[in-house]
Amino acid sequence: MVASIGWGVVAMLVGVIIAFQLNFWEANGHVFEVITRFLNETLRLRFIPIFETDGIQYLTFGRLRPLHTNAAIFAFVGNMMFAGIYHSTQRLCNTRTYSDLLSKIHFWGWQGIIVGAAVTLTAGLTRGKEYAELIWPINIAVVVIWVVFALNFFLTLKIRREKSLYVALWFYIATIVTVAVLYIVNHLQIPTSLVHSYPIFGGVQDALVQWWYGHNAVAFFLTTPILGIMYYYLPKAANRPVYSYRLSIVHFWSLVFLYIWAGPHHLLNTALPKWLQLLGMFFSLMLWAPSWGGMINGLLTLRGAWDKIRTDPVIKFFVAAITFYGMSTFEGPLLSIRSVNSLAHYTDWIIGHVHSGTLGWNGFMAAGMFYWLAPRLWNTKLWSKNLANFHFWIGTVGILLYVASLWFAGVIQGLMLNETDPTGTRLVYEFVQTVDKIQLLMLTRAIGGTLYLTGFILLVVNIWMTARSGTPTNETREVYDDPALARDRMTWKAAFRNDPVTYTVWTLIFGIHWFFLPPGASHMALICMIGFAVMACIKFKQNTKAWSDWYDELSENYLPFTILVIVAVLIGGVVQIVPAITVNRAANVEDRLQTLYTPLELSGRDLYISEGCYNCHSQMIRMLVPDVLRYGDYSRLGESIYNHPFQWGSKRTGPDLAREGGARGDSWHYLHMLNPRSINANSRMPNYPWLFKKETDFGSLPGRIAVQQRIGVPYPIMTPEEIEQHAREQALAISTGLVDQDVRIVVGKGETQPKTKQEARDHLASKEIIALIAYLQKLGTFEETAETGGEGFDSLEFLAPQVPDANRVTVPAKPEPTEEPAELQQ
Amino acid sequence: MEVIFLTTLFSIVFAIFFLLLFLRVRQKGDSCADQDSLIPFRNENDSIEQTDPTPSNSSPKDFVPKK
Repeated sequence: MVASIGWGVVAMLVGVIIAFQLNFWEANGHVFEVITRFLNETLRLRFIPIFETDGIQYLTFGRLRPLHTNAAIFAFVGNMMFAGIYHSTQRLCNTRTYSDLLSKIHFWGWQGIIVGAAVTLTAGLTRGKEYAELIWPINIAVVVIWVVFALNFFLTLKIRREKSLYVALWFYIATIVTVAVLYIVNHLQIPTSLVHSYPIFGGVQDALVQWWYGHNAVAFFLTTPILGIMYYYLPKAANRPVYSYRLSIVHFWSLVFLYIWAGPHHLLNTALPKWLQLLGMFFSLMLWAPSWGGMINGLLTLRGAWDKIRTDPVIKFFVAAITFYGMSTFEGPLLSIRSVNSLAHYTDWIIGHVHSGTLGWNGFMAAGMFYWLAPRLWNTKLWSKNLANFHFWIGTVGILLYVASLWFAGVIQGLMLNETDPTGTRLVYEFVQTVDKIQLLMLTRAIGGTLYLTGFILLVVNIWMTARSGTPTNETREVYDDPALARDRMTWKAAFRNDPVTYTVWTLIFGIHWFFLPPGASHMALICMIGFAVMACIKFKQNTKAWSDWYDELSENYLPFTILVIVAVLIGGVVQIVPAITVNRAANVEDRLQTLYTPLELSGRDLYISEGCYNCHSQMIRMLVPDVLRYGDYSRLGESIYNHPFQWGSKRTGPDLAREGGARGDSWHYLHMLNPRSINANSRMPNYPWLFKKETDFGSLPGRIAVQQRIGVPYPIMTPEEIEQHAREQALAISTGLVDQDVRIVVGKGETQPKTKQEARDHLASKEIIALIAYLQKLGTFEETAETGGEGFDSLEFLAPQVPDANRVTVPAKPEPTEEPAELQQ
Repeated sequence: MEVIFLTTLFSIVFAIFFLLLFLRVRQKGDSCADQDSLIPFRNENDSIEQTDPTPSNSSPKDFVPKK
């Protein structure tokens, strides 16, 4: 709990900083020069030296935003979740946690991971995938610590002295097993060094796996464990059992089954195959029902106790949190409708949606749980209920300001970006005009975040004073150890060979076939699915008791229960991801094939990822008229096929860069990276002065290209010397062009300014900015190829999804598609 | 259009199904599963009295209804 509170302050503080960075570019480090100059020159405090800087690389938005999200999800909510799980599981199982040693390893290991994350992310060491940025050694540490946690949890279930598993434990089980599966699959990678790796998936496959993980990080890290916590702490705080235990059964199974399918709704209107987009939208809409079922179950638990809202801050926080859960789970399906998404995606509406969930649902559930726990953990009374009430109100106002301003900002920006003249062939607004338009709203958002942080600091004071006023509880309980306690004795046959499992499985099998089989066969599958569903209802009606007894027995057996949970969550992932990653690459090309990056361009791409450019710039032109008018022809699958990781992005704080290559000259990019205000006075983008001083790491390129070859990028065979020479020659060519245009040469402290053009060329050619320019100029280059389904897919044609996206078919197939590796192109 | 229609239809049907299930389970509360909802309250030994879920040193003024 203490760790969660501490990291919560860090996460929210960084969040407030980056919110101000979106308003004032100076907040990316230059603010220190402004402050020290003011103190030194205006206030004449001469003993304070002026800290001259155009920007600090460790404090840019691109590096701090991943720190904020990781700290909020894994440090704040993660530690809160662990606290809730450890505390409630012991009480629900009527036993002590299996191993104190495992608990300590878990706790300190997790804190070590968080510290490692904070250091590496600010240092620019990232994998470039949202919420999965941490480098591979930390990934391994996460897996090890998660296994320790799982072991401790399941062994505690094994030694429990309570026959039935309470509903909160089901949600904990789902969290532990699903996060393990998601994390491992999305972090499959091959290292190139101790701090760098490339994911094995690329392009659309990586996009699909990433958002299967990313969406379910929300589902199974920010939702299911917190629902478990709700099912334990809300009844305790309200002093009455949950409204409907049976509803919680329906809530649990439908939620864990449906959630896993919804990932593709993060990729609507992109190059992702349409059948996957529709599947994501379809299941997102269905998610509304179980989500609201859970919300209703939570709120109605307060039946007859609503008066406590007036006096008890814990109930206040819980009720507001559950209400925010309901609001954000209503908004989520709404945003998953393709037409709504075409307006909202890439805008601040999505950020507002996310924060109504994290600040409202997660943050307020955490506050309620902490206020409930603190007096019990320190055997005292809460220091100040009034302060807790004030926290509630300042937090609520903060959330409303934050979320409402981003709703408005998102809708305004979406409408402006999509607006065309009456002919429908010309855009009305420049991108930067939309950024100017929402400036006041972005400031309101930062103020809302500051209010929320202030409230949370009040919680820190309150909990600190509460702890000081009491002594830590060393609780001992007498428990009745019944040797005849019949639990975990269900046979496998009884668990899996029965009517409920059989009818559910067959209904699902035919449902999946309905989606995948060609017309005619799919209609048969639909009929069979409906038939099995009807038969299930009839059987249930005829023998309700047998079905009920089976579930009662299942909830007394943690292993079969866990296996069924794994099956329920795996179905969605398997159906969506396996076809996409096993299909021949040629089927993921459409009519264009990305040209390979040269070694220097690959180096520039790694810098682009390291600086977190993907946090503000997408590389995906959707098949929407305004997108095409603004950025060029819509993106094809094949244009990002060699991108490990993919860089489609999820937010456009700046414009899309998918076709940036060749759109502007090298000197434009040079000046823009040095000072974006020199190109556009209203730009919020940070300066990147260090890119003009740091050397490109040519030596690591052979190793990186070797790994690219291993993961399937068809680089021609080159010796390490050839790779390095190729990179240096290209860098020299770019720097020669820049020097010929008399660009300003930036030198580090202690370095002398180059005297001749030759010196300037040599100086510039080794700098990171040249690699980055090479990469930016490569974006959007491709070679025409045939439209083909690919051999692998042809042989499995009967499995091809039958929801074609006819509008995307553009080029007729050529008789013999080439499969030879593309040559390097300069 | 067909897909959007089917998606919407399915979502509505699912929501209705869910609602019916919800109403049904509320009507028949005789399963032993309902007893499980009391598990958090078994072996109750919280050091704080349950009548005051959030005991505090400072409390808001007692509510006095207007006459």
